[in-house]
Amino acid sequence: MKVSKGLKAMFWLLLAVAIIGGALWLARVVQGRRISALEGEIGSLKQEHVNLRFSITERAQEGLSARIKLYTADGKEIGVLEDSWPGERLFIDFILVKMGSGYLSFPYRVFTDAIPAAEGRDLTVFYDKAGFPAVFDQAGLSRSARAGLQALFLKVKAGEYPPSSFGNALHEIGGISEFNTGLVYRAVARLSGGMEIMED
Amino acid sequence: MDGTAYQTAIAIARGVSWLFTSLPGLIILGVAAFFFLILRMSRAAKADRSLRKAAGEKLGPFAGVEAALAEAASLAAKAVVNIPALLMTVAVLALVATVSTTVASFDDFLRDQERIRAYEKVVANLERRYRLATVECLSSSPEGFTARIDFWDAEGKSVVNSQELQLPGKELFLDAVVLNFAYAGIESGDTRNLAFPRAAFSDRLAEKDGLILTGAADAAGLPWIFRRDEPSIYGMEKEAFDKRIGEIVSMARDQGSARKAGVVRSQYGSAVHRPMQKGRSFTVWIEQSGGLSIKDSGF
Repeated sequence: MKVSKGLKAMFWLLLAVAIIGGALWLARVVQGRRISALEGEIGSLKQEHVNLRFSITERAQEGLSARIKLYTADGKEIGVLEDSWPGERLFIDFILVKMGSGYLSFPYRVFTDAIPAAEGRDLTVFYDKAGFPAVFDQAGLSRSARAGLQALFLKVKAGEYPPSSFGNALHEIGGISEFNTGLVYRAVARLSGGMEIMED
Repeated sequence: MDGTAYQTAIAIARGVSWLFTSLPGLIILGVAAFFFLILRMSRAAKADRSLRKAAGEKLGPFAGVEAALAEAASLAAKAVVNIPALLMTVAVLALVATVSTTVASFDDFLRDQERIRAYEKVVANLERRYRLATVECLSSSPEGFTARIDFWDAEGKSVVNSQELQLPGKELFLDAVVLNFAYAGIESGDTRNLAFPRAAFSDRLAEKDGLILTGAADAAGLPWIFRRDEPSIYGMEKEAFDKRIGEIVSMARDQGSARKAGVVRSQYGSAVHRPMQKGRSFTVWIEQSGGLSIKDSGF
């Protein structure tokens, strides 16, 4: 009788501990999901989207020469521009268009400190594939996504700014931040709409 | 929850939990029980051999085996007779194992809660942005526009100065030097990306002919973005703060050394721009994930 009472008490104690353990296990599962979600969010915020790389190939009294390469979202090269312009500092202009919680960066034009932006070289022709902006091409892109991108591209090419969009002309600054001749740089776009130039 | 006693208790709990719930632990317990049995049997065999030898018996190769087997049978019989006590022992051991596992699991829960808090802080710091300038278009025509630019303090809480300018064309380009710092500092909140407004030009006016944003800095040439009565961007005293600003301005001038030091991850010019239309306004933000952005005023 005594042993049986002891065993019963042990059983209930075990059950209580098992219930607490079960609740803790469930909490740990929820924690694991939250940690994964946060790690994904941090990755997204820092993720680099690169569709353009460039290098200054020559600097002279009259101006500068540069090579600009354009890429798809999968990293495939789709267009190259090599040209010379008057001026000392290269400006690479993008149009950032709001899409969902992030921004899409459309390479737009190239100019220099000596050339007004409106007279800059059009970059859209180098990735315009039958009206589709090939810099956003990637495996698995749906038909509706393609159509949406095409519609946005039409506006960008026409110089219209879709709602919440803006332009950003990235450039070197003489005496402070110059592009070294021969070095390849990449234009990095981030989810927030911010862009930066980094050595490749 | 990080005292020595707590840590010791957790370590013991983890050890007991491992012993009773993991395969290696169960193997160890099984091997220990096996060696206990072998020990008892060998003692019985040894005692039997000693007795027989003392009695003058001649010992064969299997002397003592019978005694050993008898000891094993006796242990088994005792176990059967004491089944309730045995069950109680098993229940106690199960309880100990369960409690230990639960305690260890609770410690993991607390550690991961800390991890979640740290990650949430990182996300908040990366998503943060600071006002650099606000632009309002005062008038616009096919030939040009007039705009007022308001420059904000370091915290982006108050306008410290304004500048009106008139430019030909349709789009205002607001140019700034941008310094993006290494992510480690941004994520922890120890540093933040900086930008100094420097010039304004337009789609019709080349940058070299643009207007210097004299309103963006004080009389000493220090950008308003650094102006604070109580320096607290880096939580420093004024002297240390001024020294730090000097270092940052030097970094802006010597990109090579700044990047080599691993402090600045990128440094360049960024001229954000938008078409100007009378009555419309927008804000230029410094994004802590990198670069500048424009959002409509009221964002």
